Formats: sequence, structure tokens, C-alpha cells
Amino acid sequence: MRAPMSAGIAGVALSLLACGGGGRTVVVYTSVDQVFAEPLLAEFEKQTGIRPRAVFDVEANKTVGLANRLIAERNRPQADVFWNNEFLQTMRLKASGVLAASKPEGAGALDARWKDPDGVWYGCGARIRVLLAREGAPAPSSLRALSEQPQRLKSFGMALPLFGTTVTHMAALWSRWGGAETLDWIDRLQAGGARIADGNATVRDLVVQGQLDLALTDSDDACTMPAGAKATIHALPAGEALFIPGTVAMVAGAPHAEQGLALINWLLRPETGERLIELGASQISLHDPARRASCLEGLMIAPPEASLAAIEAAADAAREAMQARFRR
Amino acid sequence: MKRRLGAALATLPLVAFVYAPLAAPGFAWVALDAPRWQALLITVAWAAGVAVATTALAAAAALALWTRGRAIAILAFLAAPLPAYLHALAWLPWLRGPWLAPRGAGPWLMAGWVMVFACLPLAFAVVWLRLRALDGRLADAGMVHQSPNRVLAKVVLPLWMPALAAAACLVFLLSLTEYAVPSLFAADPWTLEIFTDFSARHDAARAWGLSLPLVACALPALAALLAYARSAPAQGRPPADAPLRWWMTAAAALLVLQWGVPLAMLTQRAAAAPLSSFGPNVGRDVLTSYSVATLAAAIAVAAAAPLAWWLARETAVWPWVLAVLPLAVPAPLAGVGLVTVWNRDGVPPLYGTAAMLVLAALARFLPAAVLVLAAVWKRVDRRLLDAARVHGSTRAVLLRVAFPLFAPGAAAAAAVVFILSLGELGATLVVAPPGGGTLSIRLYNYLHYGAAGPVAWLALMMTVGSLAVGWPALAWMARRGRNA
Repeated sequence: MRAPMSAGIAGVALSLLACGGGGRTVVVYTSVDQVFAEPLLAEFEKQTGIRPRAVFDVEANKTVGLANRLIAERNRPQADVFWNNEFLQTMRLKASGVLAASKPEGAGALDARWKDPDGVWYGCGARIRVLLAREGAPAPSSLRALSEQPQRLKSFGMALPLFGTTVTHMAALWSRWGGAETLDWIDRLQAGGARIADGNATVRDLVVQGQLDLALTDSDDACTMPAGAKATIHALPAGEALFIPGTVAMVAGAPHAEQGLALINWLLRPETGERLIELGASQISLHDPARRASCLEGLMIAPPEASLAAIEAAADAAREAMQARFRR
Repeated sequence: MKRRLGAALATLPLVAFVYAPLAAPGFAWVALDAPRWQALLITVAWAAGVAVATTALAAAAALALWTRGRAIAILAFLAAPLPAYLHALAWLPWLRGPWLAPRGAGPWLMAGWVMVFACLPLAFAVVWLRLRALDGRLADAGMVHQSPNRVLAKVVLPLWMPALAAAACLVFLLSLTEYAVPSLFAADPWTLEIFTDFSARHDAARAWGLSLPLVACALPALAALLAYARSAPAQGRPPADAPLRWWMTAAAALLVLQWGVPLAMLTQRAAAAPLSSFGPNVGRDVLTSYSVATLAAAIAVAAAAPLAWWLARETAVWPWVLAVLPLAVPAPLAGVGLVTVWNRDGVPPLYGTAAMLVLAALARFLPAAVLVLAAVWKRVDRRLLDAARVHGSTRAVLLRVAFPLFAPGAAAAAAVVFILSLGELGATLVVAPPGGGTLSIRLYNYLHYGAAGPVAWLALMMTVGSLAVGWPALAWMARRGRNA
């Protein structure tokens, strides 16, 4: 009994330790939802013969996981490519020296707004911030207008603005409205009893369940409402809208740089942008902003105003202010 | 000298697997301001409330099942393998309603309800096992002249109190470091503060500094837990009869609800989900998770056994404290520490392989195995070993006397580590090798995406796997305990 058990344990141990794989591989760290990223990476492998080995993030870690892992590994990088579903964290990693410049083939086709001037990161599919309204509940004309209707604030919700796209949106508002007006808006929301939930998907669910009339959320969360959900999606006006491009970048010191560049090339293709929309990972094409997911058809989507660099410049101040406001 | 050397050698696995990764990121002192103090106090108060409620419920249920056989009580552990966030998934549709305010105390109450049910199996195990070990003849004798309520208050409770305190402390520790469940109900625990700061500054040393208040709050609970673990084991049998009260029956019914609601929800959602809703590589994740949990359980028992043996004979408190202190540390810190230790030149090339998942599980749960095994060693009558040594070789004593006495406890420790490893997320996320995801990562990703069907399937797989390990271990322990 004991000998076979010992051999079994040793066999499991050896097989685990031996796993590493041969052949052409590329290691990609991605915060794109696993349900979207996995099928796409499988298509990449089929078309190029390069086996992707992915590390996924989880929503619960609120971006702590992958970014900190990349920084912790900076002296001996394991990843080749960082594929992010937003841009702020990518810009911060660039500032930390974790990412490196690359020259992918598809870079020329991208508008200058959606790529790093130093060639470190490139936009890959985009989402936008939207208002989700319960059926029968009128959507306000703007976020400013919403804050001037205190009676509606109790049935409005958004995610906690300490992480992810919500704090990025606060940074965008900070860069356009200024800090004082942004904080005034936040204070009105809090005074009016707005619901602050743990994530964009949560506030979406609250609207779908009828517990809230309005929610500020991401387009991918809004567009993945259950079929038959009684809610409508509304675009934000110019000055309040936020485009959230996904970004892809080479990791500095990547062990498989050639395969990493091949993956970046593949992700920047217009066809891949189409697939991202089909899968639901993004809702707007960066190659053709008129091309959008069906859930956003007919919406007047304002073109992005503030540059990503301006949003990044405002991010630290916005984050500190949000932490002071929302720590209880 | 020989004893000190033996103690040093026995603690080596703990240092290597647990303390080295925790110490690797460094430490930075962080002063707390008023909002942070408030957040910490609310978290501590919530955890204490969950601990008291869970223990009271577990105690009432244990009294109901005191004389009613092990088989029925084992039903209490059906949902033990489910991570707390899956209990939250099951209860969310019913808790989020107009009858409970969505802000203020409301989110904490909802999160508390879920945590009570998630921790109930563990608390029940602690209090029920001790209740079964009490000398029931004392209760029988007391009930000759006094009412059952008076006997319960004056005879049973005083003897039972250490176990009740231990269960409460265990639940307190689990609740104190829990992040996922409170955040699902928009209640912001102290761990959120740590994650917020970690996310903003990428400073693991500072995150350690922020964890220190949490660890300090956990110390009294750890001390109480250790006092119980170090106490003399009880040897007894249940009373001839234990009258049933309505509140005991209600508690036992809640015990059934505790596993009935999540399993019914999971089964219903799984039945509605087509297999095509799974992404690729699911099978690989399942295999990786079970392999890692099995290996971690085996290594944890082997590494913890000598340390537990030494602890069981140690009268000083500080070795016990050092052995279990890491249980109070948030998981991502352990992950970052492992990266710091193993992603460098001059160490075996384990980084980037699935071996890191095993190391993450050991870093988190080796102290739990030490605690369980130390309690086991304390129950072993050393006179049996001394008597065996008179006529047998050391090898024969180990194999034919010590091992059979130790084996049921080893099975329990292995089962505990297996179940905990299967659901581990925080440290796993930081060290998961490329292309080597686990069931917990996939499950949590599907949960966020709203893929209820695949979530239900994966959760059922996790439950079945844990039950396949946990129940035989429990049954074997029960059988050996009966034959002892």
C-alpha cells in the first residue's frame, strides 16, 4: 500500500515539475477576461503554430495581481507580452521600466491617440463607459445633470472608484472638469445616497434586477446583460465620455521576444479587432471607430477628448482623492 | 542540546516554506489615520460577530446531534469544501432585497450571514468532536437530580467552553482575512485597504506594514486557539440521553440549509448550462488543481509531522505562536514573497513551473497542518510507545505503533490542506505558471463574467473532489477512533 502511494506521489511531483513544454511558445500575461482571451489565443496558436501560455488576472484582485507580478519579476522576466484590457496600468508599468519598445507591423494603421509615442504600447480594441438604465427609467442627459437631481441619486449606482476603469473614469473627469468640480460631483453622489458597489458587473446586475434605476458601468458589462434583461444602454456626452482602449506591450527582457512580437502583430490586426467585438471583449474598433458592437448601435458616441497622457497625469491625484472619500 | 537540535531541524520546513516567502518582500511601517482606524475596527467587530454567531449555531447543532451518531453529523460537512464566495453566489439573489438596507450595516449583515454559513462546517467540526469526547456520564449523573438546562449550564458548558472558544477564534481568523465575501456585498473590509494600497503603490513592504494591524488583532484569537490545541485531550463518550430542545432542532435544520442552498443552486445552474459554454483548457485546470492539492497535502503532512511532534511536547508558548502566526497574513503577500525567493539565480528552477502552486499552498496552509497534527500527537499516549520500545526496534515502533496511532490525524490534516489548497486564490494568482491555471482562478473569472452555468459545474467539480477526499478521511478517522 505504501510503496504504490509513494510512487504515485513521486510521479505526480515529477510530472508537475517537468511541465514547461517544448516547441515555440509565447508567455502572455493578460487582464482580458479569460472567457474572451482563451478562445482568441487558441485561434492564434492555430494560425501561427506558436503555443501561447497565458496567465490571467481575476476581478477580485482589482489589478493587484498581474501588475505586481510583472514588477516582482522585473529582474528575471517570465512574460513576453502584457495584454491589458485598459491603459492606465500599462502606462504605469512603462514608467516603471517593466515594458519595452517594439515595432509591430500593425502599428502604422493605428491612430496616434491609441499608441504610445515611444512605441512601448499599442491600443487593441476599446470599450467605453456607459449609463445603463432600467426599462422605464429615463436616462439623464449627463453625469452633471444627474448630480443635480438628488431624488434620482438613491437609485443610481457605480463601482467603487478605487480601482480599474471606474477610477480611470474619475481621472478622466479630473483632467477635464478639474479636481474641485470632480470632487463636488462625488460629494453630491454620496450625499444623495448613490449606491457604491464592488464592481461594474455588480451595478449592472442591480439594474437588471430592478434594484437600481441607473448605473455607470463599462460597455462590456452592459452588453453582456442576460438575454431579455429590461434595461437600455446610453452613451455619455462629450466631456464625460471615456474611451478605454485595451493595450498590448512587449515586456522588457522578454525570453521569447520573436514570438512575443508575433503575438503583438496578431493582436493588432483589424481581423482580431473584429473578433474582440464578436466575443464581447471590446465594443469599438480602434481601426474604424464607426464599427461597433450591436449593443451600441444607434448610440451617439462622443469622440474621445482628453488624451490618455492627460488622464494618466491626473490619475494619482484622482486616486488619492477617491481613497480619502471612500475609505470608511 | 540534542533536543534543541531536533527542534531546529523540525522547524526547518516551516522556515523554508512559510517564513522565507513572508520575509522576502521586506517591511515598511505605515501610520494609521482616523478613517483607517475606523475601517480596522469595523472589520474586527464584524469578524467577532460572525465568530459568535457561527459558534452559537454550531454549538446548538452539535447538542442536537450529540447522541445521534456520526453518520448524521458527517452531513454537516457536505458543503465544507465550497469556498466562501460560492456561498455568497448562492445567497445573493435572496439577500439583496428591499427588506435589507443596501448601505450602512446592511452590507455587513448580508456578508455576515454568508460567512456564518461558509464557516459553519469548520466550527461544527471543532465543537462536535470535543462534545463527543466529553464524559457523558457526568451529564447522566447530573440529570438525575437537575433539569437538562441546568446540567447543560453547570456541567457541560464549563467542560466544553475551551472548544467553543477555539471554534470562535478559528472563525474569527477566517473572517478577519476574508475579502471576497464582504466585497461582493459592497462592505469594505480592512483587507481592501491593503489591496488598495498595494494596487496603487506596488509596494509589498508597505502592504506588509498595513497587514500588521490585522495580524495584531488576530494574536489574541491565535493565542486562544493555541491554548486549546495545547490542552489535554478529552477521552469520553456521549451520555445515554440528551434531551432535544426546539432551538437545537432549529440549529440542526440550519446546518442542512447551510449545504442545501448552495448545492441546490449549483445543481440547478449546472443542469441548465451546455458543455459548450466551457472555454478550452478546462480539463487541464482541473488536473492541475487536483494534482497540486494532493501533492501539497502529502508534503504538508510529511513536513508538519516532526514539528508537530516537537510542539506537542513543548511547554513554551512562543514556538506554537511562530508555528501558526502566518495564518493571519493575507494571501497575496505570500505570493509576492515566493516570487522574490524563487525568481532569482542560484535557486532550483522551480519558478514558472507548477511546483510554485504547490509552494503557494504550503506557504499558506502548512501552519494549519501543524496545528492539526500537534493536537493529534497530544492525544497519543506515549506510554504505548515506551512500552513498544522495550521489545521492538525503533523502526518497528514507528511503523507498527506510532503510525497507526498517528494515521487518522494525518488523514485529517491532509484532508484539511487538500480542501484549502483546492480553493486557494490569492497566492496562486501571483505564482501560477504561464499556461498552468487552476480551478479557482477559472471559477472566479467565470463568476465575474456572469457565466453562472460553468461556475456551477466547476464548483460542483471542486465539491465532489473535496468530498471524495474528505469523507473517506472522516470515515476512517471515525472508525479508528471507535476502535481505539
